[in-house]
Amino acid sequence: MSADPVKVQSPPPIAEPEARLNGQTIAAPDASGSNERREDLRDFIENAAVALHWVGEDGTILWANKAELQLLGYVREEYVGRNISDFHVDQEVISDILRRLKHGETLTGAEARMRCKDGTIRYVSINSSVYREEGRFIHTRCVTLDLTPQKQATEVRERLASIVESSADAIISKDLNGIIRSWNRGAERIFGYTPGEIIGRNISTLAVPERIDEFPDILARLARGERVDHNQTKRKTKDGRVLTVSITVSPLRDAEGTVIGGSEVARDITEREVHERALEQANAVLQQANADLQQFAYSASHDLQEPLRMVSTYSELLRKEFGSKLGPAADEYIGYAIQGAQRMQQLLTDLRAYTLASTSDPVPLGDIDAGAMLDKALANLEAVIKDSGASISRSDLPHVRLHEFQMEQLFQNLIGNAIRYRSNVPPQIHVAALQRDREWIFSVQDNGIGIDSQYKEQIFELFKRLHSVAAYPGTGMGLGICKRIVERAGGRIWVESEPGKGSTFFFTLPAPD
Amino acid sequence: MSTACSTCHIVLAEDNPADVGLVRHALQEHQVECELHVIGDADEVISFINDLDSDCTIPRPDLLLLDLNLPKKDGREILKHLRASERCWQTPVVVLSSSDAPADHRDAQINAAIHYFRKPCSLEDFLQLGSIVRAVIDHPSADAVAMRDCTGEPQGI
Repeated sequence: MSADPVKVQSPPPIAEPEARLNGQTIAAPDASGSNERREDLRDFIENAAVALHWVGEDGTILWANKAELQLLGYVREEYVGRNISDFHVDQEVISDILRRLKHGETLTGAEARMRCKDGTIRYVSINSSVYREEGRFIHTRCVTLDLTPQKQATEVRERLASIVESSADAIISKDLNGIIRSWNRGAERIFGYTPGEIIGRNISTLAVPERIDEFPDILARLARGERVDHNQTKRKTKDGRVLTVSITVSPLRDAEGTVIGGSEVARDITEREVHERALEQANAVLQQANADLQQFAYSASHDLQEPLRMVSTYSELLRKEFGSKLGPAADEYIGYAIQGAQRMQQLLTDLRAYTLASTSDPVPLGDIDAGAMLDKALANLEAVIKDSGASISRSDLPHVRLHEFQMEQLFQNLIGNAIRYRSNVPPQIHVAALQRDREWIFSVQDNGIGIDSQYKEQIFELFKRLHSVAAYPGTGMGLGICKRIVERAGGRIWVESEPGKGSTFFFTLPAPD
Repeated sequence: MSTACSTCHIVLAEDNPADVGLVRHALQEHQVECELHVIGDADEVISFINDLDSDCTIPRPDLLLLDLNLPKKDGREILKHLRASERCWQTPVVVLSSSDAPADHRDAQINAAIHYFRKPCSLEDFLQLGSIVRAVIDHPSADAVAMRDCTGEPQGI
């Protein structure tokens, strides 16, 4: 149809002597022979379900059939007339193919990678030879077979195989008689046998004598199509070490779905077990140490009380019996001794409250009436309330799940603080509670001196005080005890405050079911 | 009232001489006139109770002041022994303890002590023991008096 040297559009001539291809040109089909037959052949070649093309000596594509164009996704104009190497991914491969063809080789199954119009790459196998006339290279006769699906399948298979092979776990397949059929590197690493040593032997090779019964059981379950999941057991290595392994065994089926064996994934957890045991031991030691420490703090606070009682009562007795007889200096000294003993007494009481808050069961069984506990706390504080002229109001208070003495202590400490850290006006304190989601938020609001925001966290730490004992007496444990009580019960405690305007302490407690 | 106690016998089972001194002061403070027999050892208290049972000439004590934490034997054993004795099963007891553990209260209660006196840190509070003793001696029907907690501290337990 066209003799255009570049845009070769015509279907290939039937290989007849008249069909001339000369370098980059191609002659129109010769008219000799039967027109009908030629058309048939032309149609056959053009529409054949196999990709075909011709390439000139310099690599120019002279012609390609529909299947070839379809395979790569180009239209004729984009393909024919261009150099074949433009469509190859690997230049050295196509160069080699062309070189070998020029040297008269017939290529079968030459593998190459070609680039499609959409950018994807297809794996092809090329069969090709050169049509020559009088020794002259006229054109190649290339058949391009698409290998991509097979290649991809192979790749997937290889990837899966490499996953199995590189797995740190042992992956073993066996038939229903327990004969080992495959054995990965993980299995070799864990159990010490090479595939050559173990394939064909029974899986019970790995058994420890006291667990030999497991194997028939596992095989029986496999035969029924059942899985064995994360079964922790013992296995023996080639050199006789006993390992703790976690195994999962799944049935393997043939194409018809019949169980033909099982795959076993075994993970060596010997080390993990050792670590777990070490962790448990460390934990137990720590718990014991903690319990000892709590016990120590409790005993200390209790046992120190006795000698302290001697110091305090006898200092007082000294003052009672001999006061004013020993002179003013002696009276002063006795006064310091008594004060010191009293302060120590406070510290011990609070230390005991703190250890009690740490050791008592976090959540008691019954619910308690927070309002009644507030009453108790106020009764305990009666003297300071009276002395300071404090007025205390409250909203409805709920029932909560906490030890009575702890609820009482929370109110007592927070209200005690509100009174202690008062400004120069009589303290006004409001106690309230509101429910949000599954917890109660309690608040104790005062009009006292307030707390600088930089100390908002620090005040809840043990023995952290912002003022001298002389200015504001206290042990520095009150809020620490509150925090301990609240946190042990699963709640939180915090303060919102503005210096000079007062503070509001909040704490949450889980609402009873 | 002091005449009522002029011949009364009080046994103080207490090993700490400092506490013995404080008890004496407390009794003195409240004009409790009595013969105070101090026994500092649990075994001796028990043999004293046995002696009482076997020898009727020994005057029966009007009150036992019992420290729960005596050496050798637990104060609870002494209480049991006392309640099993022939002559002293009704003797009023005031338990002295430095502990406020609920178990101690319970033990004292089971064995019908009249008072549970938690030794306080303040002298003034300790001296209150005298008034307690006075009240027990003036109204000696031990069984009728329900046991009350008395820690000697203003806020109680």
